[in-house]
Amino acid sequence: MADSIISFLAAMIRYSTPLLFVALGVLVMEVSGIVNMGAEGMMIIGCLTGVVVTHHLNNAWLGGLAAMLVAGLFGLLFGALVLEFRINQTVLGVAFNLVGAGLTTTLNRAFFDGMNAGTTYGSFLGFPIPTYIAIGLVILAWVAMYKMKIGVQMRSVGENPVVVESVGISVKKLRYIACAAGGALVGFGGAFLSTGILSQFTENMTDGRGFIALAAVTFGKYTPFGTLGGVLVFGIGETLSYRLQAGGGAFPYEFALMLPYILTVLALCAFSRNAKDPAALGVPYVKSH
Amino acid sequence: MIKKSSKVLEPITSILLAFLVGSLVIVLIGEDPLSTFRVMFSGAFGSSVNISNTLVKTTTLTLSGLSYAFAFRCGLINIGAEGQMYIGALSASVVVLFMPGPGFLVVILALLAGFLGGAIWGLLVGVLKVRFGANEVITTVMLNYAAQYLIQWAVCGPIQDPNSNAAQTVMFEDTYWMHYILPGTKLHTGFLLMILSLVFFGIFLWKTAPGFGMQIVGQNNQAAAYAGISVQKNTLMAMFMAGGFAGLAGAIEVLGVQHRLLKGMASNFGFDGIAVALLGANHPVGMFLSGILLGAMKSGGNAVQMFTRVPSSVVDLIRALVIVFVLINVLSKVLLQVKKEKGATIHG
Repeated sequence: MADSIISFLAAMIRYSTPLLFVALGVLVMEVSGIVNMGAEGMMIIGCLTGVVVTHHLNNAWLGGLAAMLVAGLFGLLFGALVLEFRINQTVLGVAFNLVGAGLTTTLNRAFFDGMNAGTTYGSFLGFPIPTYIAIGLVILAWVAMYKMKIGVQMRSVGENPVVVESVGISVKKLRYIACAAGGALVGFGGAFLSTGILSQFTENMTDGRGFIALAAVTFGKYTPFGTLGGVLVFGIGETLSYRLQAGGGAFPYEFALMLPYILTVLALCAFSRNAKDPAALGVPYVKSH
Repeated sequence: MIKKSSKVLEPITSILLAFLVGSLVIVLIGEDPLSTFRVMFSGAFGSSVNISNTLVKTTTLTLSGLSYAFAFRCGLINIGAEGQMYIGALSASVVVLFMPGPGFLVVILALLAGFLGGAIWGLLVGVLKVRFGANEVITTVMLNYAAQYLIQWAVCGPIQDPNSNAAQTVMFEDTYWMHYILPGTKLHTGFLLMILSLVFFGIFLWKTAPGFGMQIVGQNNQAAAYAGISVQKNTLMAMFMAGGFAGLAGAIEVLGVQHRLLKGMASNFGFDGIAVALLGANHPVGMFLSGILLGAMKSGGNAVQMFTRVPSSVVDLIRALVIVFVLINVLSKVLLQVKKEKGATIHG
């Protein structure tokens, strides 16, 4: 019994790792006041980049780095469109997801079909090293958000950009930084999914994780440790889903597959009212002259 | 006058830019974009059969776009058309499979069931939003997955064709198919239903009090509340109707096109609908036109897949880029910039 609980928890931590990176990326952007409904698209781009670069350079870390770069660029592009053109962030995010899906599917079918990553990340005490990095990032995010100037500025931009601008800090600059960093983290989450948990790219392999990450951030009330908690709850759902699928018992396979999504909806219902969104979340900022 | 012409020029610019970026990807694949687009065009419009296939796709797509537009006019973003289509298709199939009767009556009942099934699936999202404040974008996406797996379970289990291993129901008897309206083609009465739905949407928006109230809510929650219009009631109504039209699209797809319920039957129609609505400015006439374009891209995409080395998914990419460029509003942004500069030189 104790063994099976431990193996369940170990699996849960493993499966939660990609989502934790993605959720942290989403958190960074949301704290600065930008809704990232495009996380799913940035993540799938990270998945493909990770596999392709890992395969060619035979090094998972370089694959992850490349995924951060490419997804970070997409984050910057998202930021530019939102900040310069003041586009509806939610709809643009959805469009980014469709771009991500269309682009990766097309490139994969044309060039990389069935490509295997070939190698993966090293591990320590049974867990892949990126798992430790992700947990370290949670602590770092907490320190940055509450103990460092950049974090305080970032949170202020999310709450009241006018005040921030009035003391001579550029709202745009901070939000660009958040978009680049957020995209990069989401991209690494994608790369870890395709080269750390699995070893190849499959179409639409993110399976809604970008949106689940958004729910985890809401669940965690926009704090790093809260987000970690949210991610672990969804990790339980995912792990349970795999166990039920593998169990082959009376429980239909398809209902096991539904579990993480139903859990996300329930969590959103339970926690949306309590989560205080950053006041300027999703509101386009117009610099007054 | 500039404003009126830019209404037409703006979407055309977006389409051209999307195809331009799509061309770059096709070049990257090592194929010739122009000949690829020629294959796409003849696949969509090359013969009366191809044209009718395009219009069949237009039918489902425009209804899916109507689903997005209905919610959007109330200020809601419905990414759930895909799931609502699945539930509509399931509801319609259950009626056909389990309620024998005269063909005409069963088809009408099945269409109603499809609408209602999708509407309830959509209403659920409205209830979660009104009651718990759950963001509708996330819940609709999550419910898409839930619906997809529900259908997968149904066609692999309780309503699977007993004589087949495939994830599908039996083929419906042809008395339960929607009638073909042009001999020798697959164009069916669903096309007329789609046009009626668009007409209903236009009348509702601009000729009825509830439609007017719903648009006030969509434009400004607070103003609506001041005017005594209930945001909550309108949210529920809009999600009900949005889900309903997507459900109708699903019902029409099984009754008029596939004639059985299949795993994966919605095949991205739900997401294509977002492009239809945005490109058509959530307007009935605009959506009819963009529905034809997206329908042509979808049926042309099949030809591209068959006759070139370019994967059909390039069509999905171009569709996504159309959305991006519509959102950026390139033409008016650039025009505005030029005007500003002109003004600056005059005054300077």
